[in-house]
Amino acid sequence: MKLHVRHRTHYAYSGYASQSHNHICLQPRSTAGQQCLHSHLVVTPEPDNVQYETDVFGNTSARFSLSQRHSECDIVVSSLVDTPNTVPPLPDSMGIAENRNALSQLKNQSMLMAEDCLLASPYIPATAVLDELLGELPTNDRGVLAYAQAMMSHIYETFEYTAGFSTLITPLSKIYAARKGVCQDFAHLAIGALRRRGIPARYVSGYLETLPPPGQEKLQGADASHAWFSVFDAQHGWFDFDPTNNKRPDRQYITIAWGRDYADVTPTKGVVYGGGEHTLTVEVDVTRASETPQSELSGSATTERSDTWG
Amino acid sequence: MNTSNQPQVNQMHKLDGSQHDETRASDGSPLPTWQAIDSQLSAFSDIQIERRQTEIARQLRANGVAYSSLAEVSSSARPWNLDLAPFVIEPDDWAKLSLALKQRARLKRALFQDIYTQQSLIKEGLIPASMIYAHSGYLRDAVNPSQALDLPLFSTDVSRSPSGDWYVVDDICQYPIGIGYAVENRLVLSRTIPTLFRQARVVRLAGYFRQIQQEISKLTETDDRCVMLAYGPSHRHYFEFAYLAKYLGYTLVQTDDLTVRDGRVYLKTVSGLRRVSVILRFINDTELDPMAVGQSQSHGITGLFQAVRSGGVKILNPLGAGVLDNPALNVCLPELCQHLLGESLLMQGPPTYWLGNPEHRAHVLANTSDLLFRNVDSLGQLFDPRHMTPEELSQLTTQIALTPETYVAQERLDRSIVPAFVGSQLIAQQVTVRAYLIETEDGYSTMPGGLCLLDNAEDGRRPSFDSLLGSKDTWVVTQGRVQPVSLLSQSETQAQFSVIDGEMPSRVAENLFWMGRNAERCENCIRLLRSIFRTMQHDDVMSLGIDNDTGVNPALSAIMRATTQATRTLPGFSGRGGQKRIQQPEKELLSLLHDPQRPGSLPSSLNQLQSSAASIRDRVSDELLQVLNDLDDISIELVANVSPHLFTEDADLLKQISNQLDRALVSLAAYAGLAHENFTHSDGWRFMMLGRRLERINHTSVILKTMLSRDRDDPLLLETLLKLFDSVMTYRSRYRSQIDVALVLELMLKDEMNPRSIAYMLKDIDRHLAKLPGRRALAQADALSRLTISGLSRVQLADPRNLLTARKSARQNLARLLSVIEYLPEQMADLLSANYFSHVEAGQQLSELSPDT
Repeated sequence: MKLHVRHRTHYAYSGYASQSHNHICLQPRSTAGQQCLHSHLVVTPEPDNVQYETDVFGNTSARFSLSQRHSECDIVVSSLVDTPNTVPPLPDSMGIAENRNALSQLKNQSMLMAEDCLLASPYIPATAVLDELLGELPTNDRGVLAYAQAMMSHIYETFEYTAGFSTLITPLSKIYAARKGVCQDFAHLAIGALRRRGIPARYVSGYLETLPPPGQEKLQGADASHAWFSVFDAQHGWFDFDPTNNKRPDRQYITIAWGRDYADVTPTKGVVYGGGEHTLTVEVDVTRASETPQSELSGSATTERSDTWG
Repeated sequence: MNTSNQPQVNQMHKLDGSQHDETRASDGSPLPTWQAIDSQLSAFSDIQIERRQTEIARQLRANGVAYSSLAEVSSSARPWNLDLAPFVIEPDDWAKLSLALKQRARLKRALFQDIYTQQSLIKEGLIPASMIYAHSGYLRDAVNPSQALDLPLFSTDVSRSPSGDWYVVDDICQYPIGIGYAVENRLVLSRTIPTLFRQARVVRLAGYFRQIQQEISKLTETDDRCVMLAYGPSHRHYFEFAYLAKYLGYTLVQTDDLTVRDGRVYLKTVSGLRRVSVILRFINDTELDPMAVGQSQSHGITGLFQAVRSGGVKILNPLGAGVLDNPALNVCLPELCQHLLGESLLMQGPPTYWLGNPEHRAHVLANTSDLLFRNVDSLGQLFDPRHMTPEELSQLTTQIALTPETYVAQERLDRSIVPAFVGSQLIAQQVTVRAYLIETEDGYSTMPGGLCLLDNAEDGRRPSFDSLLGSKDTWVVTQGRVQPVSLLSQSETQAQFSVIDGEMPSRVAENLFWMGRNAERCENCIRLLRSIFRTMQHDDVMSLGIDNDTGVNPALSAIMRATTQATRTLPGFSGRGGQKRIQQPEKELLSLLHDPQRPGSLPSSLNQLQSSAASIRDRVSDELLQVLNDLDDISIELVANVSPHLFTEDADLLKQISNQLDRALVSLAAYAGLAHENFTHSDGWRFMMLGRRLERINHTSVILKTMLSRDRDDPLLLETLLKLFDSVMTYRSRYRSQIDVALVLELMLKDEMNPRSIAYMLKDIDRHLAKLPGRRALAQADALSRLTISGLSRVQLADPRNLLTARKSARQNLARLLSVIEYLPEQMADLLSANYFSHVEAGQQLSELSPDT
């Protein structure tokens, strides 16, 4: 399904900023199932130069600096993404130990990321809280994917989604104690617990389309950045799980980037010099583009993307 | 000669019989060079030894190594201790060690290249992924499959095991910390025992530093700069950074001095931004760029990583080199050496277990107390289970259980011993040598020598840098002719005055400005205190009349009030209770003399001077450092020896204090003279002079206002005032009359020929301002000049007689004028700061929004 995303980030300063450095990780990546057909970045005021780079996990990000006096900065990323129409069924997977052994034999690039995703990371330190969470959910000889799915449901069922409960620096122990949080917290908790058990798990940053329902329940996290997790099966690759909504991401999900946790794929970060106080506003709109048959999608799509993203 | 107290080298006490003795060959025979040195040292009497030790301490202090400001005395700062006896490495032994060091450097370089590009060693299973990924030195932002990486600088700590084989204690791959101490040790020891040094045929170090300069100049495009980026003055190695920058001839900068614009790096100078093309860094990988992942958010140069990636700047050692420090790599190195170089590893690390490996972990946890533990991210810091409480041990095992891959355990390995002087006795101490290498076109080259560190830690523990016993100069000797290298003396003289116009970092200019202000403040404070003591001692002070308000002489009470105002130590002798304190000034005066915690007191002002001087140590001459050391001594003395009382009757004590103050004043005068003579009269010097002048204008106007704005002109008061400004002679030669208040005012306010007058100083400021960068071609007066001109014309137009008219015994006109003048300096300082010092705006992190709101 073709989805159009418009993501606007706006910084307003109380005074004049003399300089700012920005790092934007908002270009949806093309994945096994998803294709980014088009993505375009517009910054106001216009920077002299925007540099694009690919990080160690294959995500593309943009960097720019504003060295003119400015009192606001507007960053708009517009993308057209084709998401897969069907969610493939979850295959049978190996047990946790077997999976790890198989992983070390892969000797390829995905092995490197999976290995990195077994370790603690900036927002997901190895702590006793994660072991407590694991204690609530015995493996019962389940395969890695089945266990990951159980973890997704367990978090959905035993934690309460509470918008505004946490900030970026809220530690996982507090989320765990309150059993409240937002999508990022749930993803981080699940990832941390799975890693402690020996399952490679990564953080996925993206969007979720919400439908203005008649008759349908409105999904949480409507038209905003969203986050979920993905685990690695050495035979079949990565599989995504959304603990906030207890579902395996489908065609309404757009993947932007993945990393060990939020720190690797922070959507916008920066440093500003001068400017006094600043306020941040973010608007995200996900809308359906006109339906196009699946067969017409391949081909020229990548060319268009490289035109706009350097 | 005293024979009974001769150094007893041959009977020297060993820490433990098993350690390797560095003075002997493997067959137990004494090594020839050491034998020769030993016999000469033995010929020295105790007094001769002591004299040389004192000389070493003096030289180290003079060069700033033993420098410590008062503020630091309480913390970890301690004098650097250099032993009179060198550490000798014989030619054959050095050749072997050097070969092994070069192999290790090549191996680490190959490893570095793979980790930050293809990671094929991880894919192949030759290095466990988690060994690399869990180390904080692994920078994901520095991975780039297509890059070609070098490891230009490599250093490593080595020692000898009881078997006599060299082994690696620790690798230090980010920057060659300690190398400044190694040079300093060499310079001092070769001057202290020149004959021994010559006879021993010691290979010179200078060639190594020339290689560093050459390698860096190959990286530099023409006209561009190399800067040495290091931590600021509060860092305990700051001396070394300043020393090394001076020695190599690079501008020493801190992270705030650099800025990234469009992928290029610039130095913020008083003349604007200057491009930097090479950075020689002495800052950790993880504190370089707040925008990169896994970095400290509060330090660094925003955008530096990006600038490095896009080729806008070269940095050495390259980003991410810290991953090579990981002691866990010792586990893999023998195999990696075969795989990458096709050679067997020549020099082993200490037997190491990596707790990320389940088998190792099982072994280690069963033999805990036999081993030393270490977090892979720390350098050299070891946990010794034999010296840990059960709680500490259980904390450690808990941490290991949570992140086993970040811990190693190492066997306890004794290091070798050398004789070192304790007093005039030679006592055995353990030795570690830090060796330094640089990569050249012809492969790696080893610095012939190194930093030799002494300790007496038992059971294979290693001491922190602060708890070392001392250091030695490392003498690598040759049988052939010693190649003379003249770079040493050359670069010393060249670097002495290497303040290059236009390349003055804004931070340095600001510090010079404050150095000027603080020096002036110290001088003013001393003059005021001295004046109080002299007035107290004045024979006629009681007979000359008593102020009805205070019950003391009006001159004395006026100078006391002026002191309070000018040193900004309110309430002091003014305000509520001021009268009482003037009558019993003892407590207040003692506080001004001795209390370093009180802003405005003499020791506090001296400390301020030291701290503004501290951050520009790389730019001041040795003589100036000497004067600063003298001032530091005086300040320490003032704080340590508090006068027991200040009874006016105790003439001896007052005299003693006066002498102390005189001494400080002489040092400050020497400082002013040297600053004037030794600095090229360029931008930096101008900022310093501006600081002095502004401070003095403020000081003079406050004193005049406090002492003259009441309509009571006691002759002693006027004389005290003139003395305070050193202007008695000028007054006499000018006016040849009784001291008259109008003439005093004329002289101190308006006389443009009197260097102490406000008019003279404002004119001088105007001259300096006109020559500051960016203003030389200024067609119209800007805000700075306008302030000066307005101040000057007010003073010129003022009529002393009019200023002296009083209503109800208060001279309001005078007070009004002086109040305007008094605040000029602050206004001008603000403008200077805005124009020249603060391209240095602090950055703030932009808010991030977590998803899902």
